[in-house]
Amino acid sequence: MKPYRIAQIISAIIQDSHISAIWTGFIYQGPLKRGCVPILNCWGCPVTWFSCPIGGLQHFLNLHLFPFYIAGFFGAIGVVIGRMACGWVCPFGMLQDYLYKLKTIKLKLPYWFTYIKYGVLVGVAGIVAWITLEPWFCKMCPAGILEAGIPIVSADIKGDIRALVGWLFYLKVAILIVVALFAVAIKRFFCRSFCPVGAIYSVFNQFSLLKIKIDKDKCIECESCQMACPMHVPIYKSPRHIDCIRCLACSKICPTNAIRNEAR
Amino acid sequence: MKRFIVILLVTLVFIAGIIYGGKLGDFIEIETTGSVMCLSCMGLQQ
Repeated sequence: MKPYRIAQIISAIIQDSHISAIWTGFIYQGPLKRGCVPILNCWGCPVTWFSCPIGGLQHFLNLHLFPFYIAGFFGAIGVVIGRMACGWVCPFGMLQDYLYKLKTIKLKLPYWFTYIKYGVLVGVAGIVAWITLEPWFCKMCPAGILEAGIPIVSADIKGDIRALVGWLFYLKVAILIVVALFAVAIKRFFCRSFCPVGAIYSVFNQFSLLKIKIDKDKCIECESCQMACPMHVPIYKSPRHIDCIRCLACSKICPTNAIRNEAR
Repeated sequence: MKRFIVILLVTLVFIAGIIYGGKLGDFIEIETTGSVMCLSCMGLQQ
């Protein structure tokens, strides 16, 4: 198994192991919720211990406060490791990796789609949250419905929560289904196109401490790295690409060992 | 080396942001908000 895959599984277990919620029905309430995970992980999920940084970001914007903690959190991680967290610790990214393994028709993502995530970050999670005082990205988030909405509504025996199900719930389920279907055909469809966390880290990819280095003398431009890349990044052309998640699948597959990971 | 020092300084600025946010009560705010059932996340708040 690839090292980043092992890390994804371990991190998913660490983040989402509040299993007593299954029989008590209560989400975790305690000091660990002060900490955010560096990826999209719904804080409404019954089994999670930690908070979601995008949920936190929108919460402070809803209050018309500058999110010092969240901004510092994203910045400190991004400047050191760039988008590496997306590759090594994101359970929603891992789910998309596995969906893409299904044997079906495979499609290429138009490049302009990769810029939509900046609109989602600035527009939906930023400006709209500020103006409407509502966390509109959370209302649309497919990770939220998968990790929180569906499990909680399904486990609701009394029917109190089920009574609240309305158009928004069904819209979120529809978004999740669309994202999942596209993830079967396109590598990490959501991460590349819509994820606001990825949008933040991608900016840091240009100058982060950790970076991918290509030995141009060794590279034969065989494109095997791009084929192996979960984000379909042409890493041999652009080692600081905005969508590189530093998973190092490329360096493992490179026939000439032209790719390596290094800190400045 | 120069780049490394710049990155180190930028990292320290961001960490200072976290600490300053903590002093303003951001940690408590996040804990309080994250400890209630998020109806928006579940798609239950129209």
